[in-house]
Amino acid sequence: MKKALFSVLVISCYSVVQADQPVMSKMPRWSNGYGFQFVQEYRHKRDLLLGDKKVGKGLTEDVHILNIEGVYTWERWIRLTAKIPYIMHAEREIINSQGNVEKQTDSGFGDLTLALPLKKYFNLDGRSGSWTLAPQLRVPLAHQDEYSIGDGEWGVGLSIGYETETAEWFVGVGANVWTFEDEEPFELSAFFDFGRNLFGYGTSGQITWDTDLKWEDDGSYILKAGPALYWKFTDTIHGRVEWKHDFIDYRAVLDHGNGETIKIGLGFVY
Amino acid sequence: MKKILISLLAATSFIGLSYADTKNHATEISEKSRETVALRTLKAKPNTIQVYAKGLICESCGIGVRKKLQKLKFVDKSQPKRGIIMDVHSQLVSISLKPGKSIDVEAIKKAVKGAGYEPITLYSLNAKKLKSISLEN
Repeated sequence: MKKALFSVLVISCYSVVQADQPVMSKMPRWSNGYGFQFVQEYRHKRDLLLGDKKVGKGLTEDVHILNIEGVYTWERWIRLTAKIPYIMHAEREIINSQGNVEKQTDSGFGDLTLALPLKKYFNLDGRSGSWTLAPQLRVPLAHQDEYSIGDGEWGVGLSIGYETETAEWFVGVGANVWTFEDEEPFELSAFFDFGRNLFGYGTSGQITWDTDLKWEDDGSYILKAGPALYWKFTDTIHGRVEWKHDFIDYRAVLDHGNGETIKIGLGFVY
Repeated sequence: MKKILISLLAATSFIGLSYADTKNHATEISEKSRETVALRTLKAKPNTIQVYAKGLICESCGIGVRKKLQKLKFVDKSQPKRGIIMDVHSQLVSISLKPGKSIDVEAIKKAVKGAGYEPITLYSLNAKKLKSISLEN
């Protein structure tokens, strides 16, 4: 049984890099605007799961990624985004074929995600928002270490979204599909974000509650949610901190789960 | 199940709080209210004009308004916020003018549109009275 579990774990390499959404979805809304941001991402998963059973309770996975993201807006209806994760360090504990706990590590660049978000903005008196349609491309750049955080496969995706905002509140919903060239399962995800705009210290920010649901056609699904705080320090410098907890985590193939994700980002727009 | 309930409870509470607070703030203000704000601001700050930019409700999204408008020759960039101050509650953009310079209305319209918003009305002060010019079409 342990041999079988080990084999499944080695070949599955379940993708946990969610690099689907365009970066800085707020900005730049103006023509010929561009920006980039660096997002430090920390993930901690507490258990090795099969289904919702803890087959390896306390066998953890810890991942530290630096996401490098860029965006260019030609006209307000069309922009190009790029995102590449650099895995600073990833380490997981598994049960090897001898039944012993073994540690595996990964580092280096992950897969590149390119997207071409097409936006339809609307401006009402006291409310603004946009519809988004974003074709996406996953370019495999990740190399295989002892295990791999990236998918390592070509993939194409499509994202649709709607967001609207007043001076006080914000709501955003969307869905995202990904299909891959080879072994990676088809993915369907959805998000629902809502929050309040904040004002103070001569500038502004936003606090939101973000919820993500992801399903894969191997039967895995995960529901994660948590708060996020965005702050505009200046017209150029922006910061964002978010924390997400895995509320429901079902792994159809052996993988780590039941985790937390913290992201700390610093962005620059021009 | 417990986790789902906690999640739903947290989400519901947040929505409830947000909704309750939003009820106290009209998302749309009347033209008269906007004119009152414009008049007050123009009286307090001579050498400025105001533009009603429909949809300008987010400071971060509206950064482009400042970026585009501050490039115009008649804008006094020595003033705070480079001469462009946005009020997301009234959707009014306050533009500081260089003394003696005349404004280019078409350039203002183009800048606001390029930033992603709809320029509707330009307000200025004429003999201590509010003068408005339509920027539509």
